[in-house]
Amino acid sequence: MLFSKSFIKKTKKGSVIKIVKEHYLRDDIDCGIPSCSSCKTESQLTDGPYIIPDTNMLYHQIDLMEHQGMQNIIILQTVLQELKHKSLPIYQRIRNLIPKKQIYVFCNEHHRETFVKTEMGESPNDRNDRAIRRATEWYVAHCNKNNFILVTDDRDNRQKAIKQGLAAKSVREYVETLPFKDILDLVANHDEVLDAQNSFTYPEHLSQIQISAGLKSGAFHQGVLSISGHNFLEATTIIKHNNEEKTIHIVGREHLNRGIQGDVVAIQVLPESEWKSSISTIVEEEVAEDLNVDEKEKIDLVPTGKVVGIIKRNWRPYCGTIDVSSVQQTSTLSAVQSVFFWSMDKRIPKIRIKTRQAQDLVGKRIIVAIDSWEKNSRYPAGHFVRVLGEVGDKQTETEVLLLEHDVPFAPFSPLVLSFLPEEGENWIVQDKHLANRRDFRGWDICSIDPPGCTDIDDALHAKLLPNGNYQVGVHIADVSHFVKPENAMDLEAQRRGTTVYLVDKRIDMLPGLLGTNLCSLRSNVDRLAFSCIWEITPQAEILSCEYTKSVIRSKNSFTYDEAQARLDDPNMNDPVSLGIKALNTLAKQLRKKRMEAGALTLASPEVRFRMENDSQDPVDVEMKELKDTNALVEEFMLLANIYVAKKIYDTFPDSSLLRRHPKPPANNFEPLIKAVAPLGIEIDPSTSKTLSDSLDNAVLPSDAYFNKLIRIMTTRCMMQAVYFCSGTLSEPDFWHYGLASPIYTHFTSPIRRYSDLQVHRLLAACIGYEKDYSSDLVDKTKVKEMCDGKMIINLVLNYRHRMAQQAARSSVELYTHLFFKGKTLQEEAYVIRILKNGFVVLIPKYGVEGIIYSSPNPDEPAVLTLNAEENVLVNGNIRIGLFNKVKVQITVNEAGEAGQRSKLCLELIEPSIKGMVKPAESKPKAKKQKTKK
Amino acid sequence: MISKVEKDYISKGIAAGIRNDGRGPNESRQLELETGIINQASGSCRVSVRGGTEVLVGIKVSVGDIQELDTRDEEEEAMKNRADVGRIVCSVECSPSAKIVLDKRQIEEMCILYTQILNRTLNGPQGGLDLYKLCIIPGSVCWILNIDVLILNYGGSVFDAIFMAVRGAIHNTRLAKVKVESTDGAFDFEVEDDETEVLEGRENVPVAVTAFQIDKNHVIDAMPLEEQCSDSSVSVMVNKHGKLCGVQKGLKGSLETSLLINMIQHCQNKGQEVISAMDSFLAQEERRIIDLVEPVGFR
Repeated sequence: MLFSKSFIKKTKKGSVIKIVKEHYLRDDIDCGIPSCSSCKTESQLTDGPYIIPDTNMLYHQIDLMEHQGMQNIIILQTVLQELKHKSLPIYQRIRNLIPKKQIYVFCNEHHRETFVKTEMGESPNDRNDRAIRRATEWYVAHCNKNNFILVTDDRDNRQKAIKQGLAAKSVREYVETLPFKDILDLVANHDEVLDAQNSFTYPEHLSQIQISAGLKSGAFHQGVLSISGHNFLEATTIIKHNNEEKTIHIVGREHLNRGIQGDVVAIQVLPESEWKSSISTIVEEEVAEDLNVDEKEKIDLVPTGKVVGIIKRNWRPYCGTIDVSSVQQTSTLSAVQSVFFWSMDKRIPKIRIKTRQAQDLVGKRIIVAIDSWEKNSRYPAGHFVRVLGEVGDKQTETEVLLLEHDVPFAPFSPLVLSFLPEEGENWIVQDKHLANRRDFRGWDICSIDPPGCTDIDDALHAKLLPNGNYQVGVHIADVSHFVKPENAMDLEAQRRGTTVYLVDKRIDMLPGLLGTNLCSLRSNVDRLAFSCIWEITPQAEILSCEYTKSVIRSKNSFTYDEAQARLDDPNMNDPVSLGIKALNTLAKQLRKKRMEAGALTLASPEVRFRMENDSQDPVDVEMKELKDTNALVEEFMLLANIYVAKKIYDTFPDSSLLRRHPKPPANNFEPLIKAVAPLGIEIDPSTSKTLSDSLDNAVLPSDAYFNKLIRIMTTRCMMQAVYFCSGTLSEPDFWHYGLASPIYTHFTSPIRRYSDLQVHRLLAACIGYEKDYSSDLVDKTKVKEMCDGKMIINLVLNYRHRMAQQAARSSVELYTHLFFKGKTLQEEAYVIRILKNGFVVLIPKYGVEGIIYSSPNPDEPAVLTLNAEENVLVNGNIRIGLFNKVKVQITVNEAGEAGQRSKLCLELIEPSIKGMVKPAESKPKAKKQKTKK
Repeated sequence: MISKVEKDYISKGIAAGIRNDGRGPNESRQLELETGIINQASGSCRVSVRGGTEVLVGIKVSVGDIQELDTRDEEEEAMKNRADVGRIVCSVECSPSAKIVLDKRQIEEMCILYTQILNRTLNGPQGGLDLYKLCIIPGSVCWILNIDVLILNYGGSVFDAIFMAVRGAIHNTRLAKVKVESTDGAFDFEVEDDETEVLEGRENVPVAVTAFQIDKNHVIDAMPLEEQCSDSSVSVMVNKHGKLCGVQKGLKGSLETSLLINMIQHCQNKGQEVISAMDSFLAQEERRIIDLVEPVGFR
């Protein structure tokens, strides 16, 4: 039987179209019930009772659905389709669940007896509800048994169902009948749970139509909410105003209006009279009242705005712990309690959850998901998902930081591994691989990498030519030979985006067989490579460049130290050493040229940990040092990246995957410029050259570390470098500010970055190696989606890159805290930021930052007061300003008690101010302890 | 093409009040009309005349920018300055499979002519439809009715059938309800899923009656042979209230004033008859739609 369904839709462009679909009805669709005699389909259902959930149940209660207690579920086609439209990620999760549980998907839309036609004036929701009821009715009649339960939280639907003679329950009612202890905790809340302080209301969010009208007229702006790490009641968002990117600040609970970190929101910029000062306050824990702005301080005003509506929520499950103070000691172990949950991510507000296991969960890391944030509730409501482990346990903490940074770390699936070469470890380069490749196996190629490196991406060589010029080659592991587009291994690598380097672990993008063996350019074994060969004059002028696939046989895999030794030893004159020396000379000249063009040398306070034997506990921390050989490798990698970028852009101007570094907005530098001015230092950020020169001149003869400190501060003013698709921007926007290069891409590390693999494929197509390449390579939209996705900010390169960096930093932080555990150390520190109620210091030796509060005891008056005009904190004659050197005492606050992660606790030792140091006997464990002075 | 003898035969017949198929000079042929037969269109209608003329009209609504009307009429000039009207865009096409005696060039000219007449008649107050109601956001967005006429078969008096079918299709057309929201002076709109709204003023849309002059007499609803006997024709567009909505003179001959006025008079009267018959049928069609009965369509 044939039906046609039609409806009207408004397209994105604004035109209205009528969509007409043909719909077939059939009468041979089986019910899936095992005991049914007329239907032969085998399904995973066992004997009843069966539940038929409605869409909202699947949408809101996904964590509940994943529990093993939920079985014998009949999912209707209507429900599945509605769910797909509502939320694709949740739909995927349900789809993944189906084969693993006792679930049967019944195609009620195509079954003649259960198909329901929309009545005049009936809303789609009502029609779907009717379809669900009809299907339930049919099941009862078909199997002649009334053990089918319609589960829905919609009271109306339940009542109608009961009138029809069907069994209907709400989610909670059904779950209560199940014999599992913890399952009731997973039920998400949707009733309006009113806060104790009932009078609190947030302003109403505007509807989507009002928001889109406002965006069109320019009254509102769209931006992603970025909550400040210091103060969860302050946020910034970058909007596009008059084609310029501007940072808008949002201060206060009411203005934030239930926006959560990462949400796409509609902002209304406030009139100038309401703009706030740029000096912010640190707020780490809960404050009862909102912070009031000091009306007198109208200095350094920044554009301020407020959230008027939410365009897209970007909620995800959060790791964290239960707030101990909200747990009540009850005698009945299974009483439901409403407790608060603190996320590890300080930018997320407290979440209220209901659980029966409150006491068991104290002191453990758990995962919680947010359900909703009603306007009369101070905090969002959520539900418990699962437990990770004990707080402070290294494994648990590492898992927490991987989850928090959305790093996929599950082992590679058998499907992915099936795409590895069959020979496995015994794979060797054979004659058949030599087609279209040049044979460089006789050349004196070597690789230089950090000690203990197993995934060698790159190798170099330099040879003196008869005409006096040098032939320099950069050879990169030919990963694209092993990873073909669109197979499972490629898709998994694309999903991961990059290899993540934690202090003690490495989460690989590609299976180890490739990453550390077959692709890795190990010495004394034939390996496939993708080479860039230049002819360079001794004065580092580049005469020509060619690209080719090749086979190489690296002669040595050096560490930086070993290569440096070869470099420094005048007696080593074998071809490889001579090569390194030549490379070094050329590299120095190339670097000089880059500096003259305005490339920036920035700094980071990175340190490295030394582990004691294999105990996995850090013994000492050392700062990373840069040698000549580091710079050598870096120079040639940059050169390769730049040349490859030019080549692929030439051939694929629309769909090249490039990397750019936007120029930072001038106002980013203002605080820094102001801070160094009193020291007689000028910073000119107008171009990268002027900035570079300013940095070179920013020296204090009295303090050697000062220059590095300024460079670290400058690094923080920078924008993020991002991948982009060449077809989406015009050429001036390709500029890489930090490298002062008009065009750039990533080519040299395909083992650990997916973007490089994509560039390899593009380059292979450019040189004609790959005669038939996937049409995706030239599809501008595909490349753009690979960089930035479609409003769903996961599965994409820029996101993964950022997350990997943050995960690495968190891992370092974790180990730093482990290092400080049980120790009390006094070290030098520099003040890097002045805030209203304290200041932030950087401790160069360990590369860590910490906060020192103006009033170490929250109940006692502040010891330091802020002088806003001069941006210093004063106590009597002592002034603490930016870049002052101080001495601090470092201890660690154990995790768990204070609620979240372990915290570095700092006290000011020098300059010595009474009241800033707590007496020795009362070594603080929690911040709230009172001490007598 | 027609021979002199045939021409003479027909002329003399009509002078005596007899036509080839036995009709009187004022009688029109039996026809079938059906609406709502094209699912993808917002409104449709098919008119099938016994003598072979068959016309199919489909109306698609779309949303577009408000443009000024291109007219020279005084009242329409006034409307031109108002930026809150929707518009109607017509097009007439002849199917290649239509059995037609004219050559390609003549067919094209005929189609262009009919398109222009339709556009002129409907895009104004004389067209009956309330164009102001078609405006969504004043000054920027409005509904556009795209009326596409397909001549499936030619059996004489096509223009009458076209107009009838257009009227039927307009009657059948449904728009989706629009919700307009404004924020700070900027407007945006949303559409409902279903097409439920009728076009305001649809009952005032006129029909056309064409009279072909043969010697001193004229016939209504001419057959192809009769059309070829004629030197001039007058198409009169008249609406339910008997008001004249448009007059078009066709063919190359000249007309005496008294004959012209006579023809117009006759056509007007005939037009009223046609409309009342049509309206009673269209009321039936409305019932059919509400009762969700499928049309016979093309089966």
